[in-house]
Amino acid sequence: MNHEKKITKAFKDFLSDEFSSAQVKRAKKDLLQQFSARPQFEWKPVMIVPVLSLMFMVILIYHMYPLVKPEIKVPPVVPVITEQTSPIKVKKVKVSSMTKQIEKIIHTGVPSDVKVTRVSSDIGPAMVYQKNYRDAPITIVWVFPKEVKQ
Amino acid sequence: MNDPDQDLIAQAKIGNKPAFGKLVSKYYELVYAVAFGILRNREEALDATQNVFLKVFHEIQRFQGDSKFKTWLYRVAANAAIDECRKKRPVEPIEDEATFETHEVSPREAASRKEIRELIEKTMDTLSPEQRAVFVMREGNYLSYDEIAETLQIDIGTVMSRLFYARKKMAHALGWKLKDELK
Repeated sequence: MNHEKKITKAFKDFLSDEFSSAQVKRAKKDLLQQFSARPQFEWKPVMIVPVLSLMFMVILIYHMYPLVKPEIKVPPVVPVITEQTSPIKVKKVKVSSMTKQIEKIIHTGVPSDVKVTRVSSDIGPAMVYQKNYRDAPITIVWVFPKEVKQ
Repeated sequence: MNDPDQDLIAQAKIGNKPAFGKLVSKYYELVYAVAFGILRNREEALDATQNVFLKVFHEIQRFQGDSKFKTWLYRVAANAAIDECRKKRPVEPIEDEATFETHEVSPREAASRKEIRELIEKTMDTLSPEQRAVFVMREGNYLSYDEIAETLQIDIGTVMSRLFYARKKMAHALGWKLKDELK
């Protein structure tokens, strides 16, 4: 081996040692990362299945929501009569002067299909207004509570 | 001109970073060898190598394919390293061989690559950046005289004279060790 080749070999070893240093390897890796491919979104035909499934779910929920939404319970405006309240006991009583006046007022304009009955209860005198409106009977009860005696 | 890197260059020109990354992967060591050979400092050589590749990536549109990409890349690297070398520490090449110091070490020590490395480094320091560039391109990157001349834009005669001088220095430093130790 002549000197020229020996110099070449020695210099090759010299560079080889330099390339194998951790610092050089790390610098190369860092530089390569700057030119690495970024994960980019690419549309693939196979993606149509999950996309359509998602769209179907959204449409289904949009249309089904009114059917499955929970009912909102509105508290009744009219107080419910419970067991503790005293039941109305209907019994015929003498028609007082006041009820006579009311009856007179009502009967002046009461149509023939309306039936008005006077009843009495523990609470006070009551009048029952009944009408068969389009096969849907309507019943209205007026109660005139007695005055509470002190 | 048939350039093996033609396809990668074409892709890099339209902004394909991974394509340029392949060129970086392929030529990193060779560019680093030029930078390290000229600058004689690892940190500076690594910085210079990175700057060369970033510069080449941004200016790759200017590459017209008149020469091989490798040649153009080496030219950018060598010019950048020589400019950096002159800017930071102007080197006065030691012309007098008598001033070159060699260590009188035992053959056992000289056999180690570490010793040879130190001698090579010491010898490299005595060369001018231009001489180092020619020497590294020839001995490290195996470029032909024509390629070196084209890369550095000098004539072949200058390439040969610089290489002759560098080899003479190296042979003087390593001569007896090469004769005795390297097989």
